[in-house]
Amino acid sequence: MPAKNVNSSLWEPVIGLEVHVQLNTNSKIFSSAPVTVSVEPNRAANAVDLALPGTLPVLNKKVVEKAILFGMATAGRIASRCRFDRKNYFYPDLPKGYQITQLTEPIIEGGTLEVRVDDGSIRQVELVRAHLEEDAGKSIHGKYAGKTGIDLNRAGTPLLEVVTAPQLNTPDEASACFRTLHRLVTWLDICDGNLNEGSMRCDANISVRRHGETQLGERTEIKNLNSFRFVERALKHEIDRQISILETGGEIVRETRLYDVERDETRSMRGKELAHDYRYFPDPDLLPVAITQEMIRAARSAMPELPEARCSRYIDELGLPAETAHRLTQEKAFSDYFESAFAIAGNAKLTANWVLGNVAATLNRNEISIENLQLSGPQLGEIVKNIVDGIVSDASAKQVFEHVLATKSNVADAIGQQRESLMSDERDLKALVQRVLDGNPIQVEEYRKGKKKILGYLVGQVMSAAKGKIDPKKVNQALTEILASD
Amino acid sequence: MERDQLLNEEILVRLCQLSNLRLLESEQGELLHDLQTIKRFVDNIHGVDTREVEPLSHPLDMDQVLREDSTVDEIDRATYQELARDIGDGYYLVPRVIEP
Repeated sequence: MPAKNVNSSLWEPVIGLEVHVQLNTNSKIFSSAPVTVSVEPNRAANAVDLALPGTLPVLNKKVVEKAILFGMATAGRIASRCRFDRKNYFYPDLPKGYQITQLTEPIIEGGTLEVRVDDGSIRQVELVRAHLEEDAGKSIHGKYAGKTGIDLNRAGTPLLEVVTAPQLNTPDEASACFRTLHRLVTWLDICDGNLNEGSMRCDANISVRRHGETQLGERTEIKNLNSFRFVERALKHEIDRQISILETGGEIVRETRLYDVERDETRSMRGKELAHDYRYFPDPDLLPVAITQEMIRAARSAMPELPEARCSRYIDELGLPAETAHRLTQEKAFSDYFESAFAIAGNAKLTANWVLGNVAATLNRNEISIENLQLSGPQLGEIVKNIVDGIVSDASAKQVFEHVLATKSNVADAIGQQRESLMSDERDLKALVQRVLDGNPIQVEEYRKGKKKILGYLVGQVMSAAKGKIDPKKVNQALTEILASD
Repeated sequence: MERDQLLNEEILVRLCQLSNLRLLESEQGELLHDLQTIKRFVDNIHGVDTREVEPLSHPLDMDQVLREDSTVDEIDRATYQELARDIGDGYYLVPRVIEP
């Protein structure tokens, strides 16, 4: 359907994102049932989540604290009082008949997100708001004849919905924005960031207009994009679709569309002009929430050094190249690992090389996260320090690194063993060379008389005695030394 | 419904459909009378000029009490599911719905 020959250079896409961030609390936003994905259906849904008559929601303090942390990290305005509203719609995965959300007085308004685009430039993306709401349950279609199965385990899971201003102009920028948001919320430890399990779901609003035009075109909304790549691909497709409609004199219909991953296209889900009247009104079951100075102070003291600030510090104070600093600050645990290694090694560049080289390769090879690596940051620091101090070579350090990983031994022992085995190899080599010389007295005699070419023959004899498991350069060196000393 | 629009039988039937209520013909007259009274009451309230009045979301001058983030409930699924009309494999089963 999308035209292949659209002239996209004449058109400017305008994109805004709405991202549902699942907050990583133990219990739900309004009930004390656990937040979990790994239990049987309805084992994590209590009377409040089932909306049994007589139950009342009680707001989870952690949810508020995590939202404040987000607001502070994005320099948003944190409301001194916020309020919850009911959004009414009828669907069985929402047993109350309404979703508790925040329409008119959200907890966070405004703020900015610093987004690093692919070409390395930085875009300041304004945030409109971030508000708290509860998730709905899940419907299982097609498993039961004529019926739909309802699992309310997810019902009541706390969500922070983050809304960006329509300021993104390319699918790459939108994807980078989603990625930046992902890094921030995991860095702040307010979300586990697990995209496969739906911990972050992105809706994209998209319209196109001719370059130079100031009015926004009619928009569509693409729902439930749960990976960085899908955001990019779905938007690319939708931009082409809209442009091809407009270029052939058609009109864009305001509607919600779904991205079909298999067919790489978006398709209509439902018309927005027929959208429900959600009949929002203040939830009488929940009083206004006061954000106290004490809560603000607590959030301030819990605030970690943010990724952008840390990245700048690596460049300005540690003298690391921008790309290295950027790669080190993609994930907090990874960056913390570098910090603890550097604190001991004292050489930022070498430590960074090790973390981005051997450590990252080990993580990739074993498909594990840095938290599960059997070699701690301080241990890596110790290895690097030994290189810096000239105690081990880079190659031996690599062997020590592998040894510690495999045996979980401590670094000092591993380095001791490494040096010992190096020395014993050396002793063994000398003994072997001596045996070969003793067995070839004529050749030794000729060598001493000046027939230096005979050395090649002797090296070959030693190599064959060692069955080739030896560095010929070392053999050469040992032979020369011994022949010279006799 | 518009203000001062008269509530008639046709609207009543539509309301019952929307609310999933089965109404006997014998009940219609009384319910229609009651709803018309309620509608007049609501129209009266609508008549008050509130343009200068700040909206009130809660009558109580209090703030929400927050709960610690702990899970205390033992979830007794079996007891909850006794209340359900239909269950299967731990799911609550409802008449088939299509995607909203």
